[in-house]
Amino acid sequence: MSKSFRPKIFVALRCLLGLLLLWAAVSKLANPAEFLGSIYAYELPLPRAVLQSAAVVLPWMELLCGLLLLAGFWPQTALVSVTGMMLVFVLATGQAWLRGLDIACGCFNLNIFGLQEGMPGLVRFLESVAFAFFRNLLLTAVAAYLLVREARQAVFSRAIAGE
Amino acid sequence: MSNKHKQSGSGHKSHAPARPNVVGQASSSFSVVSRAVLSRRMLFQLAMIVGLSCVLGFAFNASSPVGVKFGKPFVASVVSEIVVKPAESSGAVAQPALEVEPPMPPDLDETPVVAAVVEEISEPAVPPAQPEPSFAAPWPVAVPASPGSHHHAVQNPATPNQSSTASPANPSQTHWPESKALVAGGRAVLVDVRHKAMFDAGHIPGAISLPESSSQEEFSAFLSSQPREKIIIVYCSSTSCSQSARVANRLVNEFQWPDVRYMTGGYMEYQQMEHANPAQ
Repeated sequence: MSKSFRPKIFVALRCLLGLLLLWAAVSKLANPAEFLGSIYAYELPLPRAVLQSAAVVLPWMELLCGLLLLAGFWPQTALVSVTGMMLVFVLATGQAWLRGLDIACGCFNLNIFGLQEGMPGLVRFLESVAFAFFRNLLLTAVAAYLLVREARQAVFSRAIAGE
Repeated sequence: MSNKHKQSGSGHKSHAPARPNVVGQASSSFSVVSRAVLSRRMLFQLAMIVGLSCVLGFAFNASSPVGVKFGKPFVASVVSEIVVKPAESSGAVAQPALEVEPPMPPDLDETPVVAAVVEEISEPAVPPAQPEPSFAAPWPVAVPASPGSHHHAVQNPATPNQSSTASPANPSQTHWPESKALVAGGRAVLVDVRHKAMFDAGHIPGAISLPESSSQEEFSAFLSSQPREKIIIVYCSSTSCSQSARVANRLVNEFQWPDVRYMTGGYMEYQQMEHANPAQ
C-alpha cells in the first residue's frame, strides 16, 4: 500500500466511525424513554439514577464525538471517548450475551432502511446482543487503532516543532 | 573542532534534522512533562465533551415529551393510564370503560404514572348501548368521563362482535390500533412478555406482565384466569425482539389457546402511535 494512500484510509475510517456514532445518537435521541427501556433490558447491577442519566447523556456524547470525528477536531480526545464508550458497550453486550438475554441491543435504528418490514429475521440478527458484541469489539479495535495512530502523529508533530 | 561540531549541530537542529534524529528525539525527549501537558489538555477536552453532553442531554430531556422522568418508575410521560371500571350495578352498561389520562406538561406531571389497572374486569353480557359514531373512526375516540375529571374515557367504535377482528391464522400478527380496539372492547387481554424490569419501567396500560421465562405453572395460572374466548395479545419491546412470537406460539401449541396474536411492533409501536395521536 502506498504511503499517500494510507492517510486517506485513516480519514475514511475516522469519518465512518463518526457517521456510525451520529446514526446511533440520532436513533437514541428520537426516544430517550425507549432507550432507557433498552438499557433496563441489560439488567445491569447499577442504580436506577445512573441508568437514567446514561440514557440522557450517552446519546449526546455519541453525537458530539461523531461530529468531532467527522470534523477532525480534537481527534485524539474524541477517539479516547469513543474507545471508552465502546469498551462499555462491549462489556454490556458481552454480559447480556453470556447470560442469554434475548433482547435488542438498542444500538441503531434500522427502520430507516425499511428492513423491519422486508427482512425481520435479518433485523433480529443485527440487533441481537451477540452480533452487537462482536460489532462493538471491531469498533473498539478501529477506534483504538486510530487513537494510536493519531497519538503517534501528534508525537512526530511535536518532535518536529521542537516542543 | 569539537566547538565546530557543536555549532553545526545546534544550527542543524532548528532547520532540517535528519529523520533518525527526529525519531530518536521523539523517543527520548518525550519526557514526562510533555506527556503531562498532552494528557492535561486531553482531560480538559474530555471534561468539555462530557460537560456539554450533560448540559445538552438534560436540557433536551426536560423539553422532550418522551424524555426520561427521573425518580419515577415510569418513563414515558405521554403514556396514559387505563382504569378498567367495574360494571355498573344497574347492569345497563357492562362495557368496561377505558379511561385515558391526558398527557400533562413535564413540569406539572407530579403524579406517578405507573399504569394502575383495576382488576375488576367483567365481561359485557350485552353490548353497550352507545350512540353510533357519526363517522367511522379508525381509532377509539376520547370523550370526557365525568365533568371536572381529568380522565377521558375512550369509547371504542368497534363493536365486540365485529367479524373483521377474526384471526385467520393462530398465532397471527397484529398492530397497536387493532389491539387497542380489542382491548378497549374487552375482547382481548394484553400480555407483556418482556423482563419484569422493563415492564416496571414502562408498559402498555392494562397489560399483564408474563415474562417469557415464567414457569409452566405461571402460564397456566394466568390462562386459567382468562375466559377461553378472550384474545391474548402478546408484545415485547419492538420489531427486533422475538419473545412475543415465541410466547404466542407456545400459547397456541402448548396450551391450545384459540386466538393468540402478537404485536410485531411491540411496545415501541405503541409509544410511537400514542405519541403521534395522543388525543385520539
